[in-house]
Amino acid sequence: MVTNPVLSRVPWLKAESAQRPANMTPADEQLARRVQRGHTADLAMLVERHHSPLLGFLYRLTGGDRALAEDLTQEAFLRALRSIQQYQPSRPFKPWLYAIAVNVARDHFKRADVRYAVTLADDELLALPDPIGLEETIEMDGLRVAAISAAIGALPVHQREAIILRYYQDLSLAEIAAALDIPIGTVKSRLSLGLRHLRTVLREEGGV
Amino acid sequence: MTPQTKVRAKLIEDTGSAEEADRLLPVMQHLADWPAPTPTAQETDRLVQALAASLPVQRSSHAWALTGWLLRAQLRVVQQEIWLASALVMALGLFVTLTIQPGPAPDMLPLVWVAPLVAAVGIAFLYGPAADPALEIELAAPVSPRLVVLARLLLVFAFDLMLGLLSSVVLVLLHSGWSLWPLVLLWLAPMTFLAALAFLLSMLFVEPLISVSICLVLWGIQVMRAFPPFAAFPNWLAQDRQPWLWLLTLICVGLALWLAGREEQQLLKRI
Repeated sequence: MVTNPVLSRVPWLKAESAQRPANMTPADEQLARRVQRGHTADLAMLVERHHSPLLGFLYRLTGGDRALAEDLTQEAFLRALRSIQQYQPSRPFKPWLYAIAVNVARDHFKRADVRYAVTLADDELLALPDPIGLEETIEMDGLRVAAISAAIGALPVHQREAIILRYYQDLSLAEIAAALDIPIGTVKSRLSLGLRHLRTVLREEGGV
Repeated sequence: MTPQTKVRAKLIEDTGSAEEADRLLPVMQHLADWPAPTPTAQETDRLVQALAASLPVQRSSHAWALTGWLLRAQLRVVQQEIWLASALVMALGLFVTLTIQPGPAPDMLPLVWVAPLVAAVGIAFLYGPAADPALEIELAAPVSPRLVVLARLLLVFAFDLMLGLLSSVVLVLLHSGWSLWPLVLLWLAPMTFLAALAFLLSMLFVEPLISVSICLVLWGIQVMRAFPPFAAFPNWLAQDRQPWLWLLTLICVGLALWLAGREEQQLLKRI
């Protein structure tokens, strides 16, 4: 039997979820379709399913700033909900949600005037001060974590988005292409360039 | 498949080369060193509760609620004089019809002449500066100006239709020689057409008097048929012409709604 932890904890959602057969695990697209009609229990299931991955995605995209990632995650869900009527259930839900999250993060970078697109040489990159949120990561896992978060944080933002979506969020090339609204070939070239960039930076540090 | 072979397969897919994938594998091991935070169950609950407030209202009830709200809101916007004047003129038409003895041919009844005019004049005065709210309020409304226009049209037309039906029922009750449906058919098509024409004209001209004048002239020509020099004018009330009137009605309403939509786009461009 599939149970939803959120539904069991929030009493006013329990009654609504009881109307659904217990052994059914609806796809994201089915849930989104029901959210369009205003069903709260399906919203809870969608959030439960995507909250942690989306937080992880935005955490890494923002260079490890947990508080900022939480704010952006809430903003991404809110924006998705406000435009849920425009979502077409015939198309996959996950890339649609990630496209919104990417836009939320880009808007934040624009507002904050944060410049992540770095065009410096690798040795100059290594001399840069650590990106935001590094203190927290250092406390967690020490210098290796700091090194990898700094290396990812120093990537141009479009390469960083592709790398995180592919190797942390485990999205397929087609899903990334849909989320970033670019051709699959461009996804591949961004991944390839990003990985080479990372290898160079980490080698300089003696990690690879 | 072990996690490492899975990652290697993914790298081969991304780079198109096994050698390049092998060179990049150590980078992937580094990536795995950076864990992401996991939200607690309470954090997810709080997020769901915060989002639930923005959940769309269930669609079926939402549509009915929106329609009801829109009609109630427009009921307050429509000038009160329109209701009163329509009712008075229709009552006068009914009174005159009842006092004519012996009764004329059905298509020459005053009620049949009055009903379309009442609808046309009422609708012509629905729009324009006197009835429309400020641009800012109109654009801030949760429905488009086109829907607002349509809601107002429906309200006034439904009111005039009800008046016409009531008057016809009274006539049929007091004159055993007339039957209800043929009598209603005499004024229904012209009334709908003139109302649609007034609606279209009020979209074209800001001044409602222009719309009213054009409708009056058109309907006046029809009424003049009662007098010998004008008997050659086409008879709109003839049964075989009524399908054309319905078609023209549809065209007028369609054009007026298109104009309202275009006006909406222009308003949005101006801000």
